Amino acid sequence: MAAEVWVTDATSVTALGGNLEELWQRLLWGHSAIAPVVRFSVKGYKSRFAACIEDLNCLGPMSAIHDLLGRLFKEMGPVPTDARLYTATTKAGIDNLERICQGEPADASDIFITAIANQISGRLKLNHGGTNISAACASSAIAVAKGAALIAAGRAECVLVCCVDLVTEFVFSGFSALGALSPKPCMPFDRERSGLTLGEGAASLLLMTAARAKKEGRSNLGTVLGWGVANDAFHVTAPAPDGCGLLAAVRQALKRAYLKPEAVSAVCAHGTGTVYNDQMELTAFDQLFGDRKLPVYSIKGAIGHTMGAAGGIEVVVGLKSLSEGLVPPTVGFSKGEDRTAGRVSSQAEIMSGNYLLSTNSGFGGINAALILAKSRGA
Amino acid sequence: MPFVTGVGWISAQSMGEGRKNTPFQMDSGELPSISRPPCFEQGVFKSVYPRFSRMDEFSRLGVSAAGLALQDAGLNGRISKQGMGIVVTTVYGCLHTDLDYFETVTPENGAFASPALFSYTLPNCFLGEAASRFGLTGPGYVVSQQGNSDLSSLRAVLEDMDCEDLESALAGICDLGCPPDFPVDINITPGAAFVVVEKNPDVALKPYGSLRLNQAQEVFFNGKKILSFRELIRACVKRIPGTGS
Repeated sequence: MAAEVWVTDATSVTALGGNLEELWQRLLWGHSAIAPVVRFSVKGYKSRFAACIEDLNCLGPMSAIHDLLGRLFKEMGPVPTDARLYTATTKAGIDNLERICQGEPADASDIFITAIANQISGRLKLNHGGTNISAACASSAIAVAKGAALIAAGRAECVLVCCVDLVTEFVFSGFSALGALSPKPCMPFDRERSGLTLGEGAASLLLMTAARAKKEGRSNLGTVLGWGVANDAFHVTAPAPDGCGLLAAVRQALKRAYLKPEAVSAVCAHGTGTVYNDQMELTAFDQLFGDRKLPVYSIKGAIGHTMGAAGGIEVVVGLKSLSEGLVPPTVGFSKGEDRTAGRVSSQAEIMSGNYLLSTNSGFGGINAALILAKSRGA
Repeated sequence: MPFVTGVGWISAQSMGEGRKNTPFQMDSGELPSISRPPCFEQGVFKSVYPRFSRMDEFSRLGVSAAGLALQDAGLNGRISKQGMGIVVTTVYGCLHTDLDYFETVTPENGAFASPALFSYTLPNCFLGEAASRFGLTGPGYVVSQQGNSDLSSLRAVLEDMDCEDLESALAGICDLGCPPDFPVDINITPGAAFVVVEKNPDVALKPYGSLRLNQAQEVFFNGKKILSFRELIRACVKRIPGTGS
């Protein structure tokens, strides 16, 4: 029998809050951290907006990723040294590549995806070095899925998942060149949506067997009940319009959780605000849920699209949603398409039920789905 | 139990498939230019593949080596097996492309930043190319090295097979080596190598051997502990199925 996967500690650092409580409150109030970018010149780009963390700095030659992880460490509870570590990032300390190219002193080793795992493992004095998962914007959801799978199969008692990504000129210019940036703050699922807005952030989740957590007197913030990962096999940068990959991932997650779609109480969607992503998701949700109306929300209008960290941050928020019985508003959403009626809202909503579906999709056609269950103690 | 059913590689010294008796060597040196897939005029690349010429060098290397391994496993054309995955270990990833891309950002405040190059500035992008070309609809992601071991992709696949419903996957390594003048040279051998791992291989195809992952994360091929991906490929080509060697 598979071991139950508890989340015993979860926190985040985003532009909307230096910790989970602050983020949660401001999400409920409908605040947004999206603002004009001052970190670099946006003169040549199609947008001037991003959700950047205030005063995030490069410390000498080190990438700003160190400052961000330092803020995350301050919010994290104790981590057992035998924890397996999965990190998730798309571009790690890519700000240092910019600095090197501009002839400034910068530590080049921060650019490697191993940098994050090495730093966290060293800082927390973990027995094992970590492994970074890189799968575009589904990176951290896959890291959570892998951690949960290890615990459920009895291959580990405890897994730490840490995810992080930065807003840099490198990624900003790239999404601008692709025509994917919204000239205005992003509007997930809105009829007039025209692209995404980048954000930065980090999150950590400590997963543990229920037995080990009880033995250590740790609280249960919620359970990771199901997970699935699948590829569209369609295109590198565009999602399959029929949502086949996302559907396959969600069906795997539901099967593992022994649930039918009717049991899902709400959906934390990827909801980037691009025309094609949101359309693909709505198509997939229509196929999954039929005419059923259930809350579907995106937090990217509030904290921006945090790329490789998005899935992890959304799990942290999703657990809070389950424990509070509330779904945060979709900031930026105003005039929805027909298919959003009765689902997406610009207001916080009451959520009844015990299961939340969280989904992410990314470049390379990858999709990940997680089913989170409300803590029975909550 | 998972088995290795296909082997393919591209190195500075050779490119090949296990069952074609190509001698395997993967040492430092200059990789062959893969401007088009001439070595795959039959099998998986037989049909027109216009996207290939648009890919960055890292993706061409990875997709080509993955194609060789699939071909060696007899999986020509789009994979009929549902949910086949692909996991890769890399150190430098797409750093060459990152540097090329950022050169297009610097002038004119990014007004001429290249969308074509940016599309390949994630190390997992070539997995998407491989997925759409070969019909790989299972999990696909890139993993970092664990310490000095390049076996993390193989470990990840074996874990996914043990913990999940994954039935078949490609596991591999892919690196172009250190970009010229880059300040950190980790001394990675350039090249790509993939193995096809299947839980239930086609009965008509004799596998190279079995794989096992123990709780200490050690990988065993036919009961013998292996320490690197190259060691695994060498062990496979030493005992090509059906040759009696």
